[in-house]
Amino acid sequence: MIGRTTNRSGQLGPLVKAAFVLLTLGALLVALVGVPRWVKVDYYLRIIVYAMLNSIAALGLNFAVGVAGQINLGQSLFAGVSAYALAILTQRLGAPWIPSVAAALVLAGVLGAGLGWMSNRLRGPYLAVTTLATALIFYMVVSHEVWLTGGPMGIRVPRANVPRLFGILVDLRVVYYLVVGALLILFVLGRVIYRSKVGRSFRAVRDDEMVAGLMGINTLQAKVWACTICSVYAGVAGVLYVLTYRFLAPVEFTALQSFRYLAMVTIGGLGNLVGSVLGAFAVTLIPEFLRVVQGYWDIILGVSILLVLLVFPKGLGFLPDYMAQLMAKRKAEVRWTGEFHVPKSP
Amino acid sequence: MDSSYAVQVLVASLAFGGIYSLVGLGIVFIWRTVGVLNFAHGHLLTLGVYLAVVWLYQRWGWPIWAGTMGALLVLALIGIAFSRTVFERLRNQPMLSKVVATMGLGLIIVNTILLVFGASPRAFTGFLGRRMLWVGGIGVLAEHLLALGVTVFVLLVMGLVFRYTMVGKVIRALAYSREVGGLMGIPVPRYLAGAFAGAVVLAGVAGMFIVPITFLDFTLGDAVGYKGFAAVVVGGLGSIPGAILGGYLVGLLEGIGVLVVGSHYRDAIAAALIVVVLLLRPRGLLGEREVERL
Repeated sequence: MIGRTTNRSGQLGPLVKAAFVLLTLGALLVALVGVPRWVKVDYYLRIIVYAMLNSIAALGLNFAVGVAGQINLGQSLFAGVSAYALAILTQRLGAPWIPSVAAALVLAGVLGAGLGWMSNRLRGPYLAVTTLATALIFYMVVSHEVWLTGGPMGIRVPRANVPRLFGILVDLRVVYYLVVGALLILFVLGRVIYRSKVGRSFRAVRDDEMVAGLMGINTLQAKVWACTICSVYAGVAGVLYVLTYRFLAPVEFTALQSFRYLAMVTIGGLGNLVGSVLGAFAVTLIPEFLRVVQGYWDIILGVSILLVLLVFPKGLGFLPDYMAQLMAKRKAEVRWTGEFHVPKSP
Repeated sequence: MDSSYAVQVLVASLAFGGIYSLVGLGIVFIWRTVGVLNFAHGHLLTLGVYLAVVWLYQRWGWPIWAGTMGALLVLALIGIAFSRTVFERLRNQPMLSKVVATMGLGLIIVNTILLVFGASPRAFTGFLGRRMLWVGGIGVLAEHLLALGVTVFVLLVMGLVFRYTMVGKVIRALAYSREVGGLMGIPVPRYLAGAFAGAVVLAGVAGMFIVPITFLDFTLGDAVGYKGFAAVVVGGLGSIPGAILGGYLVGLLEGIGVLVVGSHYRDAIAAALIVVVLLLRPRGLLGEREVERL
């Protein structure tokens, strides 16, 4: 069969597919390593880093919303809690960085687990309401308690306080590699979880909670885990946000930001991990490089959410499948749900 | 703190409570019939007030009651259109998709308001202006009494409609089961669209009475939306009497809370109430034991 690029049903052969995947991954890796060399202006590099931070938060949110079906409206809350915890610990209390980062992540995770447990003692979309409410409380506390958080003026990390990692000052160029590393690790970890028993239990709970329970899955436990994973991912994004911008203000952690994360996940495709990253990049980068749309961007996001739900429920993440289909000999029909259907040979 | 101040706070809290009841009632209504938590509810309310007050009343010079009617009509049309296009298409999708769709709608509405009307707050003195009524030496804002009266009136009319008319019976049947309702020959999509539009109109009415008490800007929908959800959770998700009771409780506790902790944490009180109720009595005051609705 070597030499044939497609198998009998018109799909790409495994060898070609593997080569294609390897080439793509290689190109991606080269591009990721090269970006800080090619992008000289800090402003643009920071936007790219920001897109990656959003990808991390969106990946986490997708675990709660897309994979486990838990509607979480507090992704910016979790990111904000860990970012503020880190900033307060290191800047106000003078704690060392690495334990502070650990503490910030644990805090985000515990908060996520707590809200997940609290909201899922009854069936129903309580999580959406509790995360929204807690996010509001967080926002109000952060804006009003000036002695602790700086209020609307925010907390700044002065250049003298920027940490060193193995003797290297963690400036934007170093943060870039940290963020790339975190994104890659968390993405791979996400795929591992997605395919593991835990990930399967999430999907079972999403698709039919009663059946999942009958199959012996502890549905409450699965939901709490989904919320915890979601909040820890957001926590990582929050911690790296502090290092990227060295400045925190309450306005970064509003409900609107949570809705933007939700837009990234929905546009990328609910439950599709590659889609979350694509969605985060699209939602973050397009308004930066296409100034015309900037004033209307949130409206466009809202319309895109509706369009994706109505026209392509699978989201942007099915583009790779679509490309593969373009190269295949026998074209599949694209159904209105966005699914591919290869007609049987006559 | 003398007794006249306490009475004023009490009346204001009850006025707020009635408004939150209307918002919460709309949310429960949509939850029971369409099967969705409507996260665009507060934003639809804001849109209605902007249309009535800023556009029709202040810009076009309509009388305020005509402006209100016009805005409520527009809200109803938006509700019907959204229900017939989006909810209809997503009928067989999981609840998740529909809820995310309402968030998309909210995002569109709030940013359209921001784009068209700007971010600066607007003032609206209400239907009666700053007139005071003096009862036994205690002054009470007439606007608060009007809000109290209108909300109680609307709630009573709603109750009568539900109990004694065919439309009410149909809606109750759909709240019990959409499938069985459809089998009984009810044109389900039409009634669901009507229920959604009705709930949105309730929110519009609530908005016209809350704006004179607070003020109008594009974030109003967030704040009032929370209060509506708080009313729903406190009363028990899915319970209509619960939402009404919850609304009044949220209003009263907020009034007391402002006296105790001060007004900058006003909006956090309802949010804290949600958390406390879910911790201590998750099914709410009047909630049924099983509140799942798929």
